[in-house]
Amino acid sequence: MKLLLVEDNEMNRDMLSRRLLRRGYEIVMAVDGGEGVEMAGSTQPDLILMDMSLPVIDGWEATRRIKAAEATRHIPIIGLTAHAMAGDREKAIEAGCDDYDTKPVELDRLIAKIQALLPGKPA
Amino acid sequence: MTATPTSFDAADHAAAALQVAALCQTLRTPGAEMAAVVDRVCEQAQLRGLDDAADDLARISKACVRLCSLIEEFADAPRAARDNPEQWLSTQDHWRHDLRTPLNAVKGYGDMLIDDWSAGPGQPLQDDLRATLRLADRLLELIAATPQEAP
Repeated sequence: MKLLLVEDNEMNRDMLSRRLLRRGYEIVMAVDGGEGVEMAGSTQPDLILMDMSLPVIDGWEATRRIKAAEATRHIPIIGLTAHAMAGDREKAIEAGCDDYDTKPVELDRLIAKIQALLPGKPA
Repeated sequence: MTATPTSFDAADHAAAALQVAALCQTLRTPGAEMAAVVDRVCEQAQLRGLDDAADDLARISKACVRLCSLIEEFADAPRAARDNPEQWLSTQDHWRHDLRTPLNAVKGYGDMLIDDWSAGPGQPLQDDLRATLRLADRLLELIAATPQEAP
Protein backbone atom coordinates (compact mmCIF):
# COMPACT_ATOMS: atom_id res chain seq x y z
CA MET A 1 0.00 0.00 0.00
CA LYS A 2 1.42 3.36 -1.00
CA LEU A 3 1.14 6.28 1.41
CA LEU A 4 1.98 9.90 0.67
CA LEU A 5 3.38 11.58 3.78
CA VAL A 6 3.22 15.38 3.63
CA GLU A 7 5.34 16.72 6.48
CA ASP A 8 7.72 19.68 6.65
CA ASN A 9 9.60 18.73 9.83
CA GLU A 10 12.61 16.66 8.78
CA MET A 11 12.79 14.64 11.98
CA ASN A 12 9.11 13.82 12.03
CA ARG A 13 9.18 12.93 8.35
CA ASP A 14 12.16 10.62 8.77
CA MET A 15 10.80 9.01 11.92
CA LEU A 16 7.23 8.40 10.77
CA SER A 17 8.25 7.20 7.30
CA ARG A 18 10.70 4.68 8.79
CA ARG A 19 8.15 3.39 11.27
CA LEU A 20 5.60 2.92 8.51
CA LEU A 21 8.17 1.27 6.23
CA ARG A 22 8.84 -1.23 9.01
CA ARG A 23 5.14 -2.06 9.00
CA GLY A 24 5.28 -2.83 5.30
CA TYR A 25 3.95 0.37 3.74
CA GLU A 26 5.49 2.01 0.69
CA ILE A 27 6.12 5.68 1.43
CA VAL A 28 6.44 8.69 -0.84
CA MET A 29 7.06 12.08 0.75
CA ALA A 30 6.39 15.76 0.20
CA VAL A 31 7.82 18.58 2.29
CA ASP A 32 5.14 21.26 1.86
CA GLY A 33 1.51 21.63 0.87
CA GLY A 34 2.25 22.60 -2.72
CA GLU A 35 4.42 19.57 -3.28
CA GLY A 36 1.80 17.46 -1.52
CA VAL A 37 -0.90 18.53 -4.00
CA GLU A 38 1.44 17.89 -6.93
CA MET A 39 2.53 14.47 -5.69
CA ALA A 40 -1.01 13.38 -4.89
CA GLY A 41 -1.66 13.64 -8.62
CA SER A 42 1.65 12.31 -9.90
CA THR A 43 2.09 9.35 -7.54
CA GLN A 44 -1.58 8.41 -6.97
CA PRO A 45 -1.09 7.09 -3.43
CA ASP A 46 -3.66 4.86 -1.74
CA LEU A 47 -3.87 7.30 1.15
CA ILE A 48 -2.39 10.64 2.23
CA LEU A 49 -1.08 11.54 5.69
CA MET A 50 -1.29 15.33 5.75
CA ASP A 51 0.38 17.50 8.34
CA MET A 52 -1.80 20.59 8.68
CA SER A 53 0.84 23.18 9.65
CA LEU A 54 2.81 23.34 6.42
CA PRO A 55 4.72 26.00 4.50
CA VAL A 56 3.81 27.25 0.98
CA ILE A 57 0.24 25.94 1.20
CA ASP A 58 -1.05 24.78 4.59
CA GLY A 59 -2.57 21.34 5.07
CA TRP A 60 -6.16 22.60 5.07
CA GLU A 61 -5.77 24.32 1.70
CA ALA A 62 -3.78 21.41 0.24
CA THR A 63 -6.56 19.06 1.33
CA ARG A 64 -9.20 21.28 -0.28
CA ARG A 65 -7.25 21.31 -3.57
CA ILE A 66 -6.72 17.54 -3.57
CA LYS A 67 -10.41 16.93 -2.88
CA ALA A 68 -11.41 19.45 -5.56
CA ALA A 69 -9.40 17.76 -8.31
CA GLU A 70 -11.05 14.99 -10.31
CA ALA A 71 -7.84 12.92 -10.39
CA THR A 72 -7.25 12.93 -6.64
CA ARG A 73 -10.57 13.44 -4.86
CA HIS A 74 -10.98 9.70 -4.27
CA ILE A 75 -7.77 9.47 -2.20
CA PRO A 76 -8.49 9.28 1.53
CA ILE A 77 -6.67 11.87 3.65
CA ILE A 78 -5.80 11.65 7.33
CA GLY A 79 -4.96 15.05 8.79
CA LEU A 80 -2.11 15.14 11.30
CA THR A 81 -1.36 17.99 13.62
CA ALA A 82 0.52 18.73 16.80
CA HIS A 83 -2.36 21.02 17.73
CA ALA A 84 -4.82 19.22 19.96
CA MET A 85 -7.29 22.02 20.38
CA ALA A 86 -11.04 21.79 20.47
CA GLY A 87 -12.31 22.32 16.94
CA ASP A 88 -9.18 21.09 15.16
CA ARG A 89 -10.83 17.83 14.18
CA GLU A 90 -13.90 19.62 12.80
CA LYS A 91 -11.69 22.08 10.91
CA ALA A 92 -9.79 19.20 9.28
CA ILE A 93 -12.97 17.33 8.35
CA GLU A 94 -14.49 20.53 6.92
CA ALA A 95 -11.41 20.94 4.71
CA GLY A 96 -12.03 17.45 3.33
CA CYS A 97 -9.97 15.15 5.55
CA ASP A 98 -11.53 11.72 5.93
CA ASP A 99 -10.06 11.35 9.41
CA TYR A 100 -7.79 13.18 11.79
CA ASP A 101 -5.08 12.24 14.28
CA THR A 102 -2.90 14.16 16.69
CA LYS A 103 0.83 14.16 17.23
CA PRO A 104 2.70 12.61 18.93
CA VAL A 105 1.68 9.79 16.65
CA GLU A 106 0.64 6.57 18.34
CA LEU A 107 1.56 4.23 15.52
CA ASP A 108 -0.96 1.47 16.25
CA ARG A 109 -3.76 4.04 16.49
CA LEU A 110 -2.72 5.64 13.20
CA ILE A 111 -2.49 2.28 11.44
CA ALA A 112 -5.96 1.37 12.71
CA LYS A 113 -7.25 4.58 11.08
CA ILE A 114 -5.42 3.79 7.83
CA GLN A 115 -6.87 0.29 7.77
CA ALA A 116 -10.36 1.61 8.53
CA LEU A 117 -10.18 3.86 5.46
CA LEU A 118 -8.78 1.10 3.25
CA PRO A 119 -10.55 -2.04 4.44
CA GLY A 120 -9.24 -5.28 3.04
CA LYS A 121 -6.12 -3.68 1.64
CA PRO A 122 -2.97 -5.21 3.17
CA ALA A 123 0.05 -3.03 3.99
CA MET B 1 -12.06 29.82 25.94
CA THR B 2 -12.32 33.44 27.01
CA ALA B 3 -12.21 36.35 24.59
CA THR B 4 -8.92 37.83 23.52
CA PRO B 5 -8.03 40.59 25.96
CA THR B 6 -8.35 44.12 24.65
CA SER B 7 -6.16 45.56 27.35
CA PHE B 8 -3.30 44.15 29.28
CA ASP B 9 -2.53 46.22 32.32
CA ALA B 10 0.05 45.81 35.04
CA ALA B 11 -2.16 43.47 37.05
CA ASP B 12 -2.77 41.26 34.00
CA HIS B 13 0.92 41.21 33.33
CA ALA B 14 1.77 40.22 36.90
CA ALA B 15 -0.84 37.43 36.80
CA ALA B 16 0.49 36.14 33.45
CA ALA B 17 4.06 36.27 34.67
CA LEU B 18 3.19 34.25 37.77
CA GLN B 19 1.18 31.72 35.79
CA VAL B 20 3.89 31.23 33.20
CA ALA B 21 6.68 31.11 35.78
CA ALA B 22 4.85 28.34 37.66
CA LEU B 23 4.19 26.42 34.47
CA CYS B 24 7.77 26.70 33.23
CA GLN B 25 9.02 25.52 36.59
CA THR B 26 6.67 22.51 36.39
CA LEU B 27 7.95 21.64 32.92
CA ARG B 28 11.63 22.24 33.63
CA THR B 29 12.02 19.30 36.00
CA PRO B 30 10.73 16.51 33.75
CA GLY B 31 12.35 18.23 30.76
CA ALA B 32 15.78 18.30 32.39
CA GLU B 33 15.32 14.78 33.73
CA MET B 34 14.46 13.52 30.27
CA ALA B 35 17.54 15.23 28.77
CA ALA B 36 19.73 13.65 31.48
CA VAL B 37 18.38 10.16 30.85
CA VAL B 38 18.91 10.59 27.12
CA ASP B 39 22.51 11.70 27.73
CA ARG B 40 23.05 8.55 29.78
CA VAL B 41 21.59 6.37 27.03
CA CYS B 42 23.83 8.04 24.43
CA GLU B 43 26.90 7.48 26.57
CA GLN B 44 26.03 3.86 27.27
CA ALA B 45 25.20 3.18 23.62
CA GLN B 46 28.59 4.52 22.61
CA LEU B 47 30.35 2.37 25.22
CA ARG B 48 28.48 -0.71 23.96
CA GLY B 49 29.38 0.01 20.36
CA LEU B 50 25.79 0.57 19.24
CA ASP B 51 26.91 2.68 16.31
CA ASP B 52 23.81 1.96 14.24
CA ALA B 53 21.75 3.86 16.80
CA ALA B 54 24.02 6.91 16.92
CA ASP B 55 22.04 9.01 14.43
CA ASP B 56 18.67 8.30 16.04
CA LEU B 57 20.05 8.98 19.51
CA ALA B 58 21.49 12.26 18.26
CA ARG B 59 18.02 13.20 16.97
CA ILE B 60 16.44 12.38 20.35
CA SER B 61 19.13 14.41 22.09
CA LYS B 62 18.60 17.35 19.73
CA ALA B 63 14.84 17.21 20.36
CA CYS B 64 15.45 17.32 24.14
CA VAL B 65 17.68 20.39 23.77
CA ARG B 66 15.02 22.07 21.63
CA LEU B 67 12.34 21.27 24.18
CA CYS B 68 14.34 22.77 27.07
CA SER B 69 15.07 25.84 24.98
CA LEU B 70 11.36 26.33 24.17
CA ILE B 71 10.46 26.15 27.86
CA GLU B 72 12.88 28.99 28.55
CA GLU B 73 11.57 30.98 25.58
CA PHE B 74 8.05 30.77 26.96
CA ALA B 75 9.22 32.11 30.29
CA ASP B 76 9.69 35.41 28.45
CA ALA B 77 6.19 35.38 26.93
CA PRO B 78 4.48 37.66 29.50
CA ARG B 79 6.96 40.43 28.67
CA ALA B 80 5.92 40.22 25.02
CA ALA B 81 2.25 40.06 26.01
CA ARG B 82 2.61 43.36 27.89
CA ASP B 83 3.45 45.05 24.59
CA ASN B 84 1.09 43.06 22.39
CA PRO B 85 -1.80 41.55 24.38
CA GLU B 86 -3.71 40.42 21.29
CA GLN B 87 -0.96 37.91 20.64
CA TRP B 88 -1.26 36.26 24.02
CA LEU B 89 -3.68 33.48 23.07
CA SER B 90 -1.90 32.66 19.83
CA THR B 91 1.42 32.66 21.66
CA GLN B 92 0.10 30.00 24.01
CA ASP B 93 -1.38 28.02 21.15
CA HIS B 94 1.82 28.11 19.10
CA TRP B 95 3.93 27.32 22.10
CA ARG B 96 1.82 24.25 22.84
CA HIS B 97 2.21 23.17 19.20
CA ASP B 98 5.96 23.82 19.21
CA LEU B 99 6.51 21.80 22.37
CA ARG B 100 4.66 18.80 21.01
CA THR B 101 6.89 18.66 17.93
CA PRO B 102 10.15 17.64 19.68
CA LEU B 103 8.18 15.33 21.97
CA ASN B 104 6.82 13.64 18.86
CA ALA B 105 10.41 13.00 17.74
CA VAL B 106 11.49 11.72 21.17
CA LYS B 107 8.60 9.29 21.34
CA GLY B 108 8.88 8.10 17.75
CA TYR B 109 12.63 7.49 17.69
CA GLY B 110 12.49 6.10 21.24
CA ASP B 111 9.85 3.55 20.22
CA MET B 112 11.96 2.49 17.24
CA LEU B 113 15.07 1.99 19.36
CA ILE B 114 13.15 -0.03 21.94
CA ASP B 115 12.10 -2.33 19.10
CA ASP B 116 15.67 -2.47 17.77
CA TRP B 117 17.06 -3.27 21.20
CA SER B 118 14.67 -6.06 22.08
CA ALA B 119 17.72 -8.35 21.95
CA GLY B 120 21.49 -7.92 21.81
CA PRO B 121 23.82 -5.37 23.42
CA GLY B 122 21.20 -2.63 23.45
CA GLN B 123 18.73 -4.59 25.55
CA PRO B 124 19.98 -3.25 28.93
CA LEU B 125 19.29 0.30 27.71
CA GLN B 126 15.61 -0.36 27.11
CA ASP B 127 14.65 0.58 30.67
CA ASP B 128 16.22 4.02 30.32
CA LEU B 129 14.49 4.53 26.99
CA ARG B 130 11.16 3.53 28.53
CA ALA B 131 11.82 6.06 31.31
CA THR B 132 12.42 8.68 28.60
CA LEU B 133 9.08 7.87 27.00
CA ARG B 134 7.30 8.06 30.37
CA LEU B 135 8.78 11.52 30.93
CA ALA B 136 7.70 12.57 27.45
CA ASP B 137 4.17 11.39 28.26
CA ARG B 138 4.26 13.32 31.53
CA LEU B 139 5.30 16.49 29.67
CA LEU B 140 2.50 16.01 27.17
CA GLU B 141 0.01 15.72 30.03
CA LEU B 142 1.32 18.92 31.59
CA ILE B 143 1.16 20.77 28.27
CA ALA B 144 -2.37 19.56 27.64
CA ALA B 145 -3.37 20.78 31.10
CA THR B 146 -2.04 24.28 30.42
CA PRO B 147 -4.82 26.82 30.86
CA GLN B 148 -5.91 28.19 27.50
CA GLU B 149 -7.58 31.30 28.86
CA ALA B 150 -6.04 34.70 28.64
CA PRO B 151 -4.55 35.83 31.95
